[in-house]
Amino acid sequence: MAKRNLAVSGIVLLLMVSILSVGCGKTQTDNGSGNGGTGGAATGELVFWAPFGGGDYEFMKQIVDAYNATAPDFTVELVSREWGTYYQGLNSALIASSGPDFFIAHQSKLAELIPTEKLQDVRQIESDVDWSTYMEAQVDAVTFEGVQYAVPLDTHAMVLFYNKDILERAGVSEQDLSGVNGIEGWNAILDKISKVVSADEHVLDIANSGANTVQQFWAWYVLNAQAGGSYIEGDEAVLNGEAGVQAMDIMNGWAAEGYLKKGIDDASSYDIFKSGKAALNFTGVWATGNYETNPDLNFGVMPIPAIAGEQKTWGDSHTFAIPTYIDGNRKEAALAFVDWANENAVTWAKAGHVPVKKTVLASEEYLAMPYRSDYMEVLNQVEYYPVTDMLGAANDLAMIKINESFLGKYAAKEALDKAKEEIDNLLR
Amino acid sequence: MLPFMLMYGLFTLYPLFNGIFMSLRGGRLGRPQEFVGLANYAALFKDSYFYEAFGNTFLFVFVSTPIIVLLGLVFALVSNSKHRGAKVVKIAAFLPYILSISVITSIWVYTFKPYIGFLNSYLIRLGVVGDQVLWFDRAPLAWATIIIATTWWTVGFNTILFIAGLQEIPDELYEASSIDGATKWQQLKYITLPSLKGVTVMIVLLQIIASFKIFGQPFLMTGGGPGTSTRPLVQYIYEKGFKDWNAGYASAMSYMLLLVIIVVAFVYNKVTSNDGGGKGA
Repeated sequence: MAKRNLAVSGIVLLLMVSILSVGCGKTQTDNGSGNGGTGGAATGELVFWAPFGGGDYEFMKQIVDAYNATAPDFTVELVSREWGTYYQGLNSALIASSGPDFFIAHQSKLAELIPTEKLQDVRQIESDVDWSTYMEAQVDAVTFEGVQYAVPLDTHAMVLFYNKDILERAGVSEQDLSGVNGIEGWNAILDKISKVVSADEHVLDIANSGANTVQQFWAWYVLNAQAGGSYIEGDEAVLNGEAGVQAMDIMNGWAAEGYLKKGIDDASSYDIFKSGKAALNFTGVWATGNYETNPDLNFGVMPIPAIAGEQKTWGDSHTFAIPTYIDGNRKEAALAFVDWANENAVTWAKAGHVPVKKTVLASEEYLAMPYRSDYMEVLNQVEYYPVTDMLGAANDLAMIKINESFLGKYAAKEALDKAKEEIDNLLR
Repeated sequence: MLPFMLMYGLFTLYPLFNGIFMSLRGGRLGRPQEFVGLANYAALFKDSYFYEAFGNTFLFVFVSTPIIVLLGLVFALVSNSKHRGAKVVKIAAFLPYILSISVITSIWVYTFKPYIGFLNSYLIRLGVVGDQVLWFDRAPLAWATIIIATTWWTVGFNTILFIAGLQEIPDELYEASSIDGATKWQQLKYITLPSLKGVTVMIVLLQIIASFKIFGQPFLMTGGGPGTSTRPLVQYIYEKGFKDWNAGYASAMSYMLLLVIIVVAFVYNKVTSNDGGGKGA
C-alpha cells in the first residue's frame, strides 16, 4: 500500500513539478551539483523562491544583487514564482525534496508546510546569527512547539490610508482619525466625509467584489479582533461569536449608508485610492510604494484606529524557510544570506513592509523614510492568524460567507453560523 | 510513434487509471493516506457544493454551446463569402483564440468592472443606466460576463472548422442551383447547411466537451462568485485538490465529471447518428 502510495504521489508530483518549474530549470541542476559535492567545494549558487511580483520583486532583487556583489561563497539566485499557485508548487516540491535551497513562506502558511516534515529547525543550523536582534513577537510567530521553522523577514499589516485633501474638505483632522474610540466616533467621521464627496468619489474604499475578496475578509478580521473576538480556536471555528457578528454588522452598515460602495474589486481598490477618488482606504502596507508613484496624491497612513474596541489589526509576515533536504553547508550559506538580508532590510522597507530587526527599526535611515515609521506601531497590534494547517481552506470558506452577507444574501449571524459549520467540518 | 506513445502513456493513460486508485483513498496529499473504498463518492453525493458546481457547469454548457456554435457558423459564412471585409472578419474572429486565458480574462474584467472599467462609464454617459452596474456581484450578470468572454475567446476555433467544412462543398452545386434560379437564401438552406451537417455534429460535440471543462474564466474573472454561484465543477475540483489537498475527493469528483461527459457524448452520438442515418436512407 505504502509503495503504491509513493508511486502515485511521485508521478503526480513529478507532473506538477515539471509543469510548475518551467522557467526555472536551473533549480534542479543547481541542487544536483550542490548535493553531489559532499562538503568539499563550498561554493555555488543557492536557488531562492519567492512569490513576489512588481515592487516586492524589485526590492528583493536589489537585496540579492547587493549580497551577490559582496562575493559570498554561495551566490543567490532569486526565482520569482507566480503568486496564485505558489504554495501549490512549493508544497509539492517540498514533498518531492526537489525544491529550492530556501524560500519565502508566509507566517500563516507555515502550519500548512510543517506537516511535509521538510522545514529545517533554523536554530539547529550552525551560524553566528544574533537572535536577540530580532523582534520577539515576530520570532515567536514562527516558532511552533519550541521549534523555530523560519526566520521572519517583515510584518505586513492592514492599515488605514487617508487622502489629506478630501479630509481637509470635510474638516476632519488626522488627530480626529487616530483618536477614534468606538464605532460612533468613526461613523460620525464617515458621515462628515460623505457630505463633501462627489458621486464618483468614495468615502471608504475596501475591495469587496470580483475574483478575490480577501481584503474584505481582512477588514472583518480586524473588526472582529478589535471587538475581542477570535477566529479559530484549536479545531473549532469561533468566528460566529458576538464580536464576529458585530464586525459583520458594522461592515454591512457601511454599505447600507453608502460609505462603502459595492463592486470594488481588488485591483480597483488600489486604483481608486491612488487616483485620489477615495478619502479612506483599508489595505496592506505594501500599497505604500504604489501610492507614492502618484505625485499628485496627498496621502497619509496610520494604524487602523480603535473602531470596534481595542486597537488591533490583521497582519502576516514574510519569512525565510530552509528545507531539510539540502547539504549542511548550503543551509549555513542560506541562513547567512537571510540574516544579511534582514540586516539590510531598509531596502525591503521601501516596499512598505515593516522590518523585524531592532537595529533596522531604530536606524536613522529607516526612521527618515516617509510613511514607513507612521505604521511601525502595528508590529504590536497584529493579531496573527490562528495556527492550523487548514487555514487557507478555512479562509476561503469564511471569505465567501462574509461576502455573501455583505451582498445581502444572509444576515450577519446566519452567514457566520454557516461559515462556522463548514470550517468545523474541515477541521474535524 | 514510440516516443509519442510513451509520453501519452506516461502523462495521459497512467494518471487516468491511477486517479481511480487515488479516488478510493482518504487523507491529505503528501501525507500517509488510507484506503477508504467508495467513501469519497458517498460523501460527494451529500455535498451541496458538489451539486451546485455541477449545476453551474450544466448551465454553462447549455447556454454557451448554442451561442458559440451558431456564432462560429455565422462568422464562417461571412468569412467565406465574396464580400469585401470577409478576410477581416475571419482574422477578427480567430485572433482572440491565440491569446492566453489570463490575457482575455483581464481584458473582460477591465471592461466590466465598476468604477474603473469603461463599459459602465459609457452606459452611464449614454444614460442607459443611472448608476454603476455591479456585473460581478449578481449571478446572472456574472454569468453573462463569463459567457461573453468565452465566446469572444473561443468562437474562432469553431469558425475555422466551419470554414473548412464550407470549402469542402463543391462549387458546382452553387453554380447549378443559380442557373436554376435559386436565391442566396435557398442556397444556404438547401445546399450549405445540409452539407455542413457532418462537421456541425463534430463541432457541437467538441464544444459540449470544452464547455464541460470550463474553469479558467470563472476562476480568474469571478473567483466562482458572487458566493459560489458561478463556480464550475472543475474549479471545485481544483480547490479540493490543491487548496484543501484532498486528492481523493477531487479525484472522485473528476471521475463523476468524466462519467457525465462520456454519457452525454454517447447519447449525443446515438441521437445524431440515428438522425443522419434516417435522412441519408
